Amino acid sequence: MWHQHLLPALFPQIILAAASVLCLLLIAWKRNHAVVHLFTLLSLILALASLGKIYDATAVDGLFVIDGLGVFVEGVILIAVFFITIFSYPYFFQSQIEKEEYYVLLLLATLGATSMVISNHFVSFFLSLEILSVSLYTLIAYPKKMSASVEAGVKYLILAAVSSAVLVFGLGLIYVQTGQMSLAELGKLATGGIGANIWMIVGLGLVIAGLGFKLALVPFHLWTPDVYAGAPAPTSAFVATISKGSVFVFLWRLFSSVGTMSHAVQLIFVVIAIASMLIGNWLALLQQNLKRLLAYSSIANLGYLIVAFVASGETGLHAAMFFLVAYFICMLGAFGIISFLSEPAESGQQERLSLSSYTGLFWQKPGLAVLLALIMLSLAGIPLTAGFIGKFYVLLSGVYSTQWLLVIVLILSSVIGLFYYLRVVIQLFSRPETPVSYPASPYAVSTGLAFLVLFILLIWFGVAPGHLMDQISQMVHMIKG
Amino acid sequence: MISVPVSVQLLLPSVLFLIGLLGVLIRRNVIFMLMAMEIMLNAAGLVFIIGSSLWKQADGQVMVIFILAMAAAEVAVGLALILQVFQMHKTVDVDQLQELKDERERG
Repeated sequence: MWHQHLLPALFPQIILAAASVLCLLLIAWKRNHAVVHLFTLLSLILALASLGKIYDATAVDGLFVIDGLGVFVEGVILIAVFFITIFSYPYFFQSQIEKEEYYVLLLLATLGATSMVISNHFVSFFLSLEILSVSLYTLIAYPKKMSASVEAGVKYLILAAVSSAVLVFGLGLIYVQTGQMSLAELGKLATGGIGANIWMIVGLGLVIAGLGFKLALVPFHLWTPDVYAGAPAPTSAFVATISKGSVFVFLWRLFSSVGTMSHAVQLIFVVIAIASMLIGNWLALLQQNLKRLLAYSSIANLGYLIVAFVASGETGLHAAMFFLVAYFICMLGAFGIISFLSEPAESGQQERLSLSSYTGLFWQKPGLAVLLALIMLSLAGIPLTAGFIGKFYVLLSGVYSTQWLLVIVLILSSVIGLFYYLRVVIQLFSRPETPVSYPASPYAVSTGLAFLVLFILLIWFGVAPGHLMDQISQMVHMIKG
Repeated sequence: MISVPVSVQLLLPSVLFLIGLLGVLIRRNVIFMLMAMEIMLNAAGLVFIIGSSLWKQADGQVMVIFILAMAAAEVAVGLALILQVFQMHKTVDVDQLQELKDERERG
């Protein structure tokens, strides 16, 4: 069935798809970094503006569902990509490689992520997942003369492709058992009770493993630090935020339609959450490399997010959304600073990776140091930052659903986390013996403005979380199974 | 018509899937790993074919087309990456890619 009045609901996707093609044509016509950069920003703004009204649980041909959750996360993703695009410009400004195609891939990856959050069918999910991953392989290995980036690209390619295969095999088994590929139809079946057939259990298990890979949850997390460290910093920001946020939304949709958590499934997620929180924070303690530290921190943060997922229900969903926004701001800011402080080298950008190279940043660039310190405090969950409120809501949702074990582990692992986050802060403010020189980056105005906005958001959501929470509870409602 | 029970039908894709998974785990040559991934994806496609013949729907077959298309795209990008690795390291052995590691593992 073709409903013409639903076309505006897909405008963001249509705009992104058209923009990536136009962007390619633009490059073919004339290679100009600044023009392509501005074009990307413009099309992102256009896509954001076209995010229209919410079609309450309206299915677009059964493939997509445009509900409040989808529109909210689409908006968050588009804003996040906007920031990443701003950070990319100074990062690639001085590099010798051809940098224009980076933006095409960025637009394509965004297309995949935004369509994943509204997908309501195995086909649309698989398609958007692959659009996202295939663009990410290239985004990660983009500086093709840097052996670290290419290595990260190959590692991500192998693991992401295997996890896609695992995921799709699991989805296939679910299809064989139920005869349905649409989440809405699966939900209707689930109320009648899906038989606990062995194939169905194997299928669900494989789906959990596949999604766990994409979210970098603990038994499936090994690729994360390598990919974050090897990828160019703007891409690392993309992998850390957007690819995880969008997969999380699908995870939520899938399991809220397959039925209220059965005990076995719940137990699996409890174990995964506990392992992610503890191991992520524990391994981060040992890191000397800022990007690897952020990678382990993101593993732990995804563990916190799974606590809200296990809590489920309306409170869980709202907590997860708030936490996701706070996490996005922190990761964008941190990787933005890393990319801003990178220096041009022979084969690509040389990034400052080791913690010791950030010693005394405050005495050279006080603004950046204060922002990075605030981000670390927010990740650690210190009051007056967005991270604290996010963690507080997650904790609250855990308490409401009486998941005491998860609540205790969350608090304990946050205490572990405090150590390494504070270690970074101390590095920033200690006086170096020999002053480290930082490069004067070109085009600091737009990047500086972006950092300022992130700074204000971090404080604003931390001091007055009401605004964001009102927005979330207005838009995001529990998906009816 | 003789009908084969579904769980027996599912054995073939399961075996193929395991072969692919083992291939990825055991092989160290990236090209063989890519081939093993193809086997896994095709095993998943076979599952959808079984589902679509079981439920008399075309949906599963549509999914197979998408899986094939995406597998091709994945391999295209994968081979390009492998080419780049080969130019840099003169090898396609994944164990030779050791630049990115935790510090303490370096020893």
